[in-house]
Amino acid sequence: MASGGKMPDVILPKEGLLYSEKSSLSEVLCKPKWLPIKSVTLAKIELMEKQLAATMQQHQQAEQASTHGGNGHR
Amino acid sequence: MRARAPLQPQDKKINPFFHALSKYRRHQYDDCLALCGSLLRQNSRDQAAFVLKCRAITAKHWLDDLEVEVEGLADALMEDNVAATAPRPGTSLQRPLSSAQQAGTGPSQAVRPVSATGRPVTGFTRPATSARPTSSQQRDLITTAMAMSARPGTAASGRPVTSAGRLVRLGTASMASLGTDGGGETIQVDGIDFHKYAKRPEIAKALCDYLIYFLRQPRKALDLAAEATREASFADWWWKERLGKCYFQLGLLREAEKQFRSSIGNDSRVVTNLELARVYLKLDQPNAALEVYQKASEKFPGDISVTVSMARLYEDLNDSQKSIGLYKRVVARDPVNAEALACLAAHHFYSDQPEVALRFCRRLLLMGVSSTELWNNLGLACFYAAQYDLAITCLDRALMLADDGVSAEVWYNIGQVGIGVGDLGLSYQSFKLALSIDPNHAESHTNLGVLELRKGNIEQAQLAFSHASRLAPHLYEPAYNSALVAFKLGDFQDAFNKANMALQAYPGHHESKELLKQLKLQFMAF
Repeated sequence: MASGGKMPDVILPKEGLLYSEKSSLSEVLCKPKWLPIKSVTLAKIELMEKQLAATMQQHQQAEQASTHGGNGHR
Repeated sequence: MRARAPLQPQDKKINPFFHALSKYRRHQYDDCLALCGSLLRQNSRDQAAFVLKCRAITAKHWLDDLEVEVEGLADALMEDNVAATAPRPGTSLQRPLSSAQQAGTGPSQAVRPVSATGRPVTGFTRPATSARPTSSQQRDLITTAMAMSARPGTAASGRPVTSAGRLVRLGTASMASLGTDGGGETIQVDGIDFHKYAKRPEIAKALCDYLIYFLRQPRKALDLAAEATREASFADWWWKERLGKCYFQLGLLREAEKQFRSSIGNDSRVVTNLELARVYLKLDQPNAALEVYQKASEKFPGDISVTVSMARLYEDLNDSQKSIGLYKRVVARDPVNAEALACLAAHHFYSDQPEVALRFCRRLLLMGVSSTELWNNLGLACFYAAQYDLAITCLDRALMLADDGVSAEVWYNIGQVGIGVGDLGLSYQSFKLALSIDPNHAESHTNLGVLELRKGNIEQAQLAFSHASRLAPHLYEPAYNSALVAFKLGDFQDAFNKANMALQAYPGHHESKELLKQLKLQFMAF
């Protein structure tokens, strides 16, 4: 584009009124929240931990059932 | 996944080991394990079956450990590996470049919100994303550290406090899952003579991976690897790399560095380079890590994982310009890279190009990612790209898929949409619902406060703002709103304090500075 190598002169108005308005201060809202997508590894870890929690609960329930069965503590 | 059809009579003619191997290749690990189990019951000294069983168990429970760099609460508070206690900006992950220092290259906090660690919200979470706090002030606050350990979608309670604790727990989880789904008994490693195995590298490698990836006992694996590397007369890169991995998991970072360097000296591999860089990241030396990545990308020019790691690091350093450039390069080479697509989508959404973000999200959806997060993002992108009918459907679907961890966030975004279309009743209800699910959702408190203010309930609004800024000191909005309300009520001292709080969270916030200027005029008048 600039084959001649010379930049055109910048034309700026020297006269005239410049308007600027200060906005009054107002409350701001929090921005919409983009949710990060989980990586496969994170999803897998969460699944493993969930499975572990489920198995632990099963074990506990089974243990409780056996202690209530009458044998008491082993 | 189970086999589709039960074993046919003619299958019995197949050599059972070949059958197991074929199952392994087709990723049907449970079937493979069952077959190996029966082979081992017939002949407990069947080495081929033993190796295959090790491999199958490892593959079933394999986690990409370049991704699993989890810093627990105790790790964050009692960190003593970090070299510099007061690093210069840009040389540490704890003091990344702020957007002001980069002369406007980073996203402004007024447009892109920040997470609790003080970084702009990212488009993709890995287990390590929210690792380090960014300021010493935040480091001191145990409550902040507690809040940070709660990642989206996971329960904060019961999380192990150290990374070693997490490893142990993962080991237990995989043991438990193997015990329940009929995969057969595990391999007893206590009685194994490592010295004998070290002479058979094929078996020893399978056993070493089994120890690292399934039992998660790096100390035992270290013993085996040390024996084996001696047997291999210190010339096998693989053993040195595994030694480094074990040292890293045990927290002996300098030893790990030595092993990785030596392994690269034998034979430079991508994975070893990435692991070496990870050691530097753990030591909080991002520039050293960048150097490793640079060298690796010169050596392996077409490799995506190096580029992605570099992009991640730049993102952690708040240099979003460079990280976005790298992510674009990744997408050009690999158009289905979920991480790059998600990060680019987030970048475009917060740089006022929701249409482009929408296209990236659609590509993710076409790839088969279907999660609350993605539907929520699609809904937001649709809404801001003026496709209102689709936005509601997407957010609806996000709610259908959501569990308790994220549904508060989805309701919060529905509230935002309500504000956008002017349905303040809807948004009021949505924010209330978000708070009923997660009472600590600071953004909902803030926006509810603004709505209360419009209704004229000043006291309730103030309460909501102060609650929000206590819950999330990294947000500038509640502090600024609170300051403004106090200013209007004539409580200048309170307004001054709150405006300073807002500036602490977001040093470049113009309105807070303006408010302080007006307050100073008032103070001078007295």
